[in-house]
Amino acid sequence: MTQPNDMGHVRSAPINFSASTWGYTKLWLINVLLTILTLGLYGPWAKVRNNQYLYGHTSIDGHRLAYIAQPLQILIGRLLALGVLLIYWGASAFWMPMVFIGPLLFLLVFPWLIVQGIRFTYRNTVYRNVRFDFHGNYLGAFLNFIVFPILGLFTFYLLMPWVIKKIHQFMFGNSTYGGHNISLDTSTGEYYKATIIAIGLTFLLVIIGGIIIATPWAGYTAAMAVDNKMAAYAALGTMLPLFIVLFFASFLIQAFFIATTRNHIVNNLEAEGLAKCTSEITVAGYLKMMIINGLLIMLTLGLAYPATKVRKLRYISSKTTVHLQPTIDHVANTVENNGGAFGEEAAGMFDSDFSIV
Amino acid sequence: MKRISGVYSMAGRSEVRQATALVSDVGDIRVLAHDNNLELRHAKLSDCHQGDILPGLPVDLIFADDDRFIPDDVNIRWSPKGGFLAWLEDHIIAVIFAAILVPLCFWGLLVEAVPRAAQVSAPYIPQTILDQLGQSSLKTMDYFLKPSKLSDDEQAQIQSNWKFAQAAAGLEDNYHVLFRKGGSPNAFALPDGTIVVFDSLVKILTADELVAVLFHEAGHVDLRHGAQIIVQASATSIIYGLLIGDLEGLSEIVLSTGISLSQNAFTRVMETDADRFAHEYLRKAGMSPSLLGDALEAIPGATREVTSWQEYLSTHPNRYERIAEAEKADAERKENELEKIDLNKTDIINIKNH
Repeated sequence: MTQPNDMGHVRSAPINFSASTWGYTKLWLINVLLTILTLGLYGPWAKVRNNQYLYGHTSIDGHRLAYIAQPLQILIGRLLALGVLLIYWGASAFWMPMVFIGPLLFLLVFPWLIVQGIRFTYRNTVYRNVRFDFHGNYLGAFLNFIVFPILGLFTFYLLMPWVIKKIHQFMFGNSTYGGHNISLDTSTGEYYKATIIAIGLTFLLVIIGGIIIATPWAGYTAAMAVDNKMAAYAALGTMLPLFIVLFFASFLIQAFFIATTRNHIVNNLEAEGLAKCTSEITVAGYLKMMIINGLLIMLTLGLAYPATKVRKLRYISSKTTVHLQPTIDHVANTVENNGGAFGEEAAGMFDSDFSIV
Repeated sequence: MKRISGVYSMAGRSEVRQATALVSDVGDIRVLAHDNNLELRHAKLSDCHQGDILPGLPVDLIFADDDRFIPDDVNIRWSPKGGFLAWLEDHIIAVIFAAILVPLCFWGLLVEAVPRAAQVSAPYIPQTILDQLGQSSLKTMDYFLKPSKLSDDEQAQIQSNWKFAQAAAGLEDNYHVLFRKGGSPNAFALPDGTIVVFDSLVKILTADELVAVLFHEAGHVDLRHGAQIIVQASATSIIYGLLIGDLEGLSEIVLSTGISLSQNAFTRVMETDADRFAHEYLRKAGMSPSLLGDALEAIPGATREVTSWQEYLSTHPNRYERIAEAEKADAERKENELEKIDLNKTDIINIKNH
């Protein structure tokens, strides 16, 4: 158990993530195998067990998180979503306009799916017997996930950093824990700062990359001009490692953007009267994690996925601290049912779910 | 009597009490608070149930009203039942087995099971659905394709060549040849039997070569390749959604690359089958199967060197293999003809007539 640091009334506790890469890899592999052997029917149980493992190994102030979704409910949600998908396919085979009307209908249902999906995840997340809840509504999701992004496109992406900020506020700032509001007070300026620096880094990378690639490329074209195959292949051979280096260098931009925005989000997240957080992710640390994870995935053709997930969560947890008020010891649960799993599963089925930064 | 230390927590409340559980040999459980030794709970083990067992996590004892006792020791079990999954998930042989079987299963599913299922189920897809599909995809495509610039005479000539060859080969006329002004030379078949030919293809092929191409497209229709593609694509996307929907980032890229490679393999097999179909009916029509090879040769844009790894990225088989196959089929035809001449002199007249 972690030793909480008792400063006045507020206890500061790190997030302790005790999952092991090998432990989760074993669990994940068996779950994928069972899912395949049952032709997908075991999928919901696999999802729940994977989450139970990851949540259970995450503890704050000596208390573990818990994931309490019912696999059967997820299975029903998936089957319903599958049914809708099949009906859509069938309908578009018989009635051509459906091909165009379908996506339009989907656009209208999409905000509802998002709200249902987030609510399902929150309500099934438990800390100290108390469940989180989500209060975002259809209109909010419609504005944040459809209207604002379209607005962003029409302003040549000038509004995009603001749009991303609004989406984050919608997702994290509309929740409660045991009747206490969770608020997210982020600043638009920080998002613009992060975006501008990320664009600057991209330009820098393109220029450096261009200079590095120029020499072997010139060699390649010269060799091709005189039809010297050996020299041409040799030139191509020297380019390959350069491309790999540049590919990983492009992680730098991602690492920078994620590290900055995630720190900003976590530092401004507050469960009113209960808890605040601090996040100290560094660009170098996050970049190192990403590069090692990327290499692991490529060398194992994707089999290292569970290990990379644990490595990522472990890094993020190790850089996050929660500051708890004594009131945390006297919170009562306010959520009773956990909402249907249809939204969550349909969003996954139509490949429109999204991951949190 | 066993003493187990842990925490006692009440359903729906964040308070917890450090406590000790005393479990008697007859299945009674008493939970005592650490600080003042007060009894927090007294119940029969048989009225409680055990929480899920996950590697490295303590197993909760859940009372009838959802209060819990959470032991400090992760190895404590309250009931001998329910440990199978955890055992499996932690068993090295099971895991090695899974590590080998998971990629194999994926490969088998995508490369073997799905295409085979598509082949088996394709004949059972009602023709009305295929007709509907063909009609609606033609309508959709006609938004992008322009009407043909070929004269009525040219079109009629091609149609009559095709009808003649079909009749000669004894192929039932289930096709409907249409002309459109498309981009690069191409022809394609829709599942309802519609065959669309681009003007640019007509321009570069001889009349006989065009008939060979039409036989190839007719093969796609007769072998129900459209229906197979529908089944295969639907099955693959359902598999993708159900089995690996939770992947993200680079892993998703790796897997979807694998899936599209397997889909390419699937269409390459169908192209080869359509080629064979064309060879067979060209022969039956008394024409040379090498016409299909000539047609392929006439279509611009291929290099002589197609290395084996490039083939995995391609939706069509290696063009030079296809041409060679056509020539081989032609050689077989000639051999057969020679045999026929030896066996039955009257056949000579039949052959010459074509």
